Parts: sequence; structure tokens; C-alpha cells
Amino acid sequence: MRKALFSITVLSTMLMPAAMAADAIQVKSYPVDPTTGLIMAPGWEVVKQQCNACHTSLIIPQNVGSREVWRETIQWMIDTQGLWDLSDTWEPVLDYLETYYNETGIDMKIFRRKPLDADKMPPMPVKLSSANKEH
Amino acid sequence: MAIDRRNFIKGAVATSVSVMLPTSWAFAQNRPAGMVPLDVSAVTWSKVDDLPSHFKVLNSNPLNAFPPEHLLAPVKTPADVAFIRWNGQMPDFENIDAGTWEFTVDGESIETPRTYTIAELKQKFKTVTQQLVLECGGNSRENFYPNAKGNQWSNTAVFCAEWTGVLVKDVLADCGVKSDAVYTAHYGADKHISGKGAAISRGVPIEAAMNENAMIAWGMNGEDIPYMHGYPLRIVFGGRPGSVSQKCAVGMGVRDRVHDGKKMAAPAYQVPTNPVAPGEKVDNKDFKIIEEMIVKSLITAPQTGGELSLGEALQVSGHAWAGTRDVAKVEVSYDYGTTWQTAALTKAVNPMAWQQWSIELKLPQTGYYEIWARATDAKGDTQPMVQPQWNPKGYLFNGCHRVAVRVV
Repeated sequence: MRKALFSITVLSTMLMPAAMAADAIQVKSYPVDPTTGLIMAPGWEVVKQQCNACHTSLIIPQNVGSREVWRETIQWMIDTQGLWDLSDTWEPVLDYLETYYNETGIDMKIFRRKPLDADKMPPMPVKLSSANKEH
Repeated sequence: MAIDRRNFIKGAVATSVSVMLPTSWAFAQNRPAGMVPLDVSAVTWSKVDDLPSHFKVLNSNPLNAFPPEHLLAPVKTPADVAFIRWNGQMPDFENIDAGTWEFTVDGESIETPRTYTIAELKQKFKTVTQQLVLECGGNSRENFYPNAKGNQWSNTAVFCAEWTGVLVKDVLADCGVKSDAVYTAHYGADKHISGKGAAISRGVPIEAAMNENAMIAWGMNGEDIPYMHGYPLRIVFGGRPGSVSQKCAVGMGVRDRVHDGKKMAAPAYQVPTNPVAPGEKVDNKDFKIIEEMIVKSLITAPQTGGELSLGEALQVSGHAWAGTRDVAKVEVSYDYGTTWQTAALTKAVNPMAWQQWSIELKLPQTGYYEIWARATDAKGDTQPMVQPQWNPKGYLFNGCHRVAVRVV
């Protein structure tokens, strides 16, 4: 039961656009770097330096996600794609990505119907095997 | 260079999609009516700076770019509007010699491994020319919610070009396929973005290679295959995820097991075995390989965002395709799916080419309309109006495409 409740909480956080309103205002106050495509907010330079070593950071603004989603993506690059461990820059990088490239509300230019509310959906399974290395 | 290359390319692109010639085109007045000039400059584009501005660039390293929907109107997609998708570093095209390029067939389930030059392929096997649809498995990924990681393609990571080459099955037969063959394995010259190892090496079930629509091609639209599309030799499989159509192909293996190359393992190019909720996490053991693409359609006219006068007929047209199947029907709605009208639909020029549809609509009153199109394949599968089955990597989005117009 606890698992079920936890997963519902995760989902409702993911689907909640209201919490993003304050962030959206904050985001607007920073310019976007035309070369890297990154919002020039605190932390952007460390992201620029590390991500652009292998691929263009233009992929970042295309791929919003929670802190955990970003953590998994970076860990996958370390495990399978030759990225170094971010060491003491893990937290600043995740802070930046979570703040400026998080999942926002539903874009109604794309969607004509919203997904069901979290309390109308069955619980999300949360347990994964340790085999999820390859992305 | 005296000529502004970018403007030159822009002009050339305009010609290939609208049949209008730039005034500076020498002897343009002598060209036969209706002939579409080929933008040969697209053949040697090798970096993002070469692309005309109609491409939206998702990444420059690796290079991924796509055009707006209305530029895909031609039946045979010109190279200068076909989407570009690289997984890693592009080869050094300037130093590739097509005269000495080799293609090797090997693997556990091949009787006699052989290596061919392109000249030997041309000489030894029957040359085939046909149109085949190549669609990225992640085409339309941007439409998924929650967001699915990867290149956020709109609806145009798809094209249908005319390919010239030999059939995979003829070449494999020349080497002898053992009875224990399970899967093909495709190898190219492009490297992983780190410079180490292959960028991608995928394959298909052996049955998918033994038909008339799997090719080893050296020509695209009557020219050498452009650099961006895999010069000098490309494996081309119609109806399958575009990732199996290996660019800069150096060989094909026939495996006695499901191929274990780069990007064959879950979740790359795989979808959950069982349906999942939007946003659900899925164990890697619960994925299956996408082996065929599914029914889909694209509206290429009118261009979205236009206006027309009340009483004026609206000509709506586009393409439809359905993986390895035929499209049986295309319907169009201007009232959010309340009513549907059946469009005229051509037959495919060959299996796994896309089909063309068109319809004339009379929009009944002034105001805002969305035009929706949905295709149904020969087995009765149709495009959903809402988000199709969500999956973690955002593959196979085939919800109906729509454009908006205003009647004034």
C-alpha cells in the first residue's frame, strides 16, 4: 500500500503544472545562449562544459524531466557512453537541469485531451530490476 | 567564393518543391514543362552549415534535422528536404572513394563470406529501382506526454525517395544462407560520437531481408546517395524503423541469433511488451524490438496557418503509409472527428512506398478550422485521434496529423 501511495504522489507531481508558474517567471529573466541553446542561469557554464564535450547541448532543451530523470540520463552516459563521473559537480548540474529543464504543464497545442487525473489511475509500478543499465 | 552559397541553396530548394525556376537559372526557359530541377548541391552537404534554413536543426553533433511538413509534398522526396538523422560522427566523405568501397557479407549463418565492390554489385546482380519509405522510429516523438527522451522530432522524420541498387536477398543468396539464420546485422563506417566503436549496428528478422523491398543501394533519386543520407552505399529496408537502413554501409552479417549490435538492446528502438500507463517505468526485460512501422499519414497541403475565403474550395492532400502493409483508406475531418469524409487515394507504385491522398473540402462558414487526417491500413488498423500507446522512449507516435486554417 505504501508503494502505491508513493507512486501516486510521484505521478501527481509530474502532472502538476501549477508548481511551475513561479519557475517560468524566473526562467524568463535569463537570456538563452545562442550557441549552446542553454538558459544562462547560474550553473549553465558547468553544464555547457561537460555536456558539449561529447554532444551538442541542443539536446537538453528538447528533453525536460525531473531531477531523477536527469540523474538517470547522466548515469546512463557514465555507464555506457564514456562520460566521466561528474564528482562534485553532480549536484550543481542537477540543480540547474531540474530548475530550468523540468517537465512543465501539458502543451495544449499538442494535446486535445488531458491524461486522466492521478486519482483516477491505477498505481504506477515502482520496482525495477537491476538489469536497467542500457538505455 | 563570389556566390552566397546559402542564398543559392535556398533558391535551389524553392525550385525543387514548387517547380518555379529562379530567374538566374541558365536556359531555364528551355526546360520541359513540369520538370522538377534537382538540387544537386544537396549531394555534398556534409555539415550543419550547409543546410538551408528550412531545416530545423535538433543537434549539430550528432547531426539531426527536419523540414516543415508542407515541403514533403513531392511524391518522391528530394534530398534537399529529407530529414537527416546521424547517431554518431559522420565519416570523412571527401576521402571516400566509391571505386574501392567494399561491402562484406559474413556472419555465423552465411555459408561463404564474400566481399564485393560497388562495381561488382552492379555487375553481378539485377539492378532494382523503387520508392521506399524511411521513417525514424521516433518520428513525432515531441507529441508524447510525459516527455520521452531523445530527439524531439515533429512529424517529418520520414521520407520516400527512389532508391537504386540490388536486392539484399540476391546478395545473401550468392553467399548462401544457412537454415539456422535468425537475424541480419548491418554495419556502417560511421563511428560513435566518442570516436570509439560503432555508432549503431542494427538488423531485422531474416524473413524481412528475403523480399523485394530490402536493398543495398548506391542511388537516391537518380543520383549518387548524398553524403547526409549515407554515401556511397546504404542498406535500405522499406517499412522498418529507419535505424535499420544503415548509412555508409560496409557490410551485412547473417546471425544465428537476434543481432546484438549497438542499439539493439532494450530500450533502444524497443517498446514495452505489455501496455503501460503514461510515465510508467518499464523493466528492460519487458521490452520488444520494433520490427515494423505502423499506419500513419501526413497533411502536406494546405500549409498550416493559412486563410481562405468563404465559398472557396480547400484542396487538402498528403501521403499515407503503413509499414509493410498497404493503406486502404484515408479520411479527413474538419469538425474534430464528428464527421469524416473519404479522400481519393492512389495505389503505391511498389510495396512500401507511400501513397498519395487528396480531397476537396467545402468549409461551411467563416471561422477557425482544424483539418485532421487519419489513415487505415489493409488489416483495419487506423490512426488514433489522441496520444497512442505511450512508451518510455517515445516510439511509434501515429496520432493523426492536423493543420489549421481560417475561413474569412
